[in-house]
Amino acid sequence: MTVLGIETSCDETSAAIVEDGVVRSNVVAAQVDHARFGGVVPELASRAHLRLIVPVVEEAASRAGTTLRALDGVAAVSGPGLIGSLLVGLSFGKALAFALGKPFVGVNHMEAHVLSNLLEEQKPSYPFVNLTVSGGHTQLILVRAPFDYEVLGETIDDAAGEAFDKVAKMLGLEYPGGPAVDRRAREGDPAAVRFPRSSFDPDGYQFSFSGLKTSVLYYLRDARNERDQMPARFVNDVCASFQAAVVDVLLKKFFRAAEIFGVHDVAIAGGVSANSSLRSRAAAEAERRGLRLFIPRMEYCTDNGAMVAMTGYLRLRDGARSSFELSAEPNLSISRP
Amino acid sequence: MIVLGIETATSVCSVGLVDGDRSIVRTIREDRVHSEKLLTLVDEVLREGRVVLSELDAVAVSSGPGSFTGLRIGVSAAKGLVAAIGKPLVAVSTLAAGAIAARAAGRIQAGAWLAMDARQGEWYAALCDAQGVLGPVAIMADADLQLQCAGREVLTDRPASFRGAAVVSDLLDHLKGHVVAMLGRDRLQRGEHEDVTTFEPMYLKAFEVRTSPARVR
Repeated sequence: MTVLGIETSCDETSAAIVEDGVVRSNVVAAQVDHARFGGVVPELASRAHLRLIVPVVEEAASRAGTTLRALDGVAAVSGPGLIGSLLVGLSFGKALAFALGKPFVGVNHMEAHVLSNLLEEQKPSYPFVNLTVSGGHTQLILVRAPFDYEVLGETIDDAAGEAFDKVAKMLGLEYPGGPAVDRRAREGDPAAVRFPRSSFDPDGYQFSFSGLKTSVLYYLRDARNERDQMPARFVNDVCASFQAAVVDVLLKKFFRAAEIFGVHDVAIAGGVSANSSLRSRAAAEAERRGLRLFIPRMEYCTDNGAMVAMTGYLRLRDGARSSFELSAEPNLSISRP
Repeated sequence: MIVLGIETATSVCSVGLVDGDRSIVRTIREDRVHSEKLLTLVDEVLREGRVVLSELDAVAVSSGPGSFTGLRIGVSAAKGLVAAIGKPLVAVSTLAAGAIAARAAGRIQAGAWLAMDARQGEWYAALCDAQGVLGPVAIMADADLQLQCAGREVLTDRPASFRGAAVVSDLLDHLKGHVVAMLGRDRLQRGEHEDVTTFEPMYLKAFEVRTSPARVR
């Protein structure tokens, strides 16, 4: 069974082919124009998707050594995401499937992130706890069985990646902020500044990063002298200290969920899983607890078509079909039946 | 020649087919249903016309000006259809198609203005010349267009906005998929079509820079 997956929920135009659960191609056209605005511009993203969709899909088919006519099904993300961006991939994908006379299935972007863990040869076993951390999402999920998700917690304000972007902006670093902060944090002292670990929802799994962001803002305002005297070291220390606070909060709830639900496997997905400190500390803690940790390779962590094609493949194989009247839903939830 | 036409530039969602002398059209006039209903209309039109997609010679799409979201839905779907069937994509000006449909219905004559709401006090506007051919589309400020339209005939999606005009007709009554298909067929017969890889609708307006609320609070 050969399935095309289309991902256009934010600012990456991507298409991939999965054949019987194996990735045959994964083409991602990142839209670079957004950097100069310090964030994703929805109208700009939508226009770029419409320019890129045909070459990206054709490239995915060609790299997989197949043709669109040979497909057995088409999957496209229908939400959550930016409405204008979602509509391009969804409208294209539905029309393609309709004209090919092949089944179509709409894919939940958050489910696709969870199932990106199945793109690698080593796959987690059910049940497992998954943490999806990206520029737009921070979601802790108990995956009980195939297609059986319970959202344990989400961010009530900023996504983790968003906090990185904003702190990078305060420090005058590049966009996106994740890699910029990570790079400087490696040279800094994570204990230099004791930023608050959010005590919000101490016994639950909800996240909050806006308080941390504000305390970084106040710290920068109050520490102007130190900043002037030692700009490079100061920035490195703030990055390391901020990053330590984010990782502390994420991993505390992540591993508590693993303990409470008694899982043996834990997984991290989403673009922020590229963070070197998150990776190394999660690996160390998993090992200490005797858990197996899964983090897909980078190209499957950031938004990509492969995770959509895989989700589409599994859903179609399971008999799922979406109507050609399926529309985009910016706030689509993963736990909706 | 058999051509399918898609019109989603405004609150009208219309799909039509031309095949020789016969034409078929299905139209829904309702906001925010285009993404859901477009392929259903395509399916209905093809069934009624007893045409299968592989028999099409081209897909024509109304390319603007119009609602950015509406244009994106229509063009994305048109690209998906032609990517599957390997036939050309032909773009048709939304206002030109509206003008031709309205003229055929006896609603406008030479010298009429066409005006589509471009928001923020502006209009996408074009003038029919003495031969009834629509001139280039420009973005005009409301005050300027009102002066031009005084005592003239106007075809617009906002009829209530042109009190000074002699005759005002509703543009949305004249946006039809089969007219898009017909004009698309004309272009195809002249050997014209779009490069499906790079084609974009006629947005006319540059995008407005506002960062996504999901990213910046």
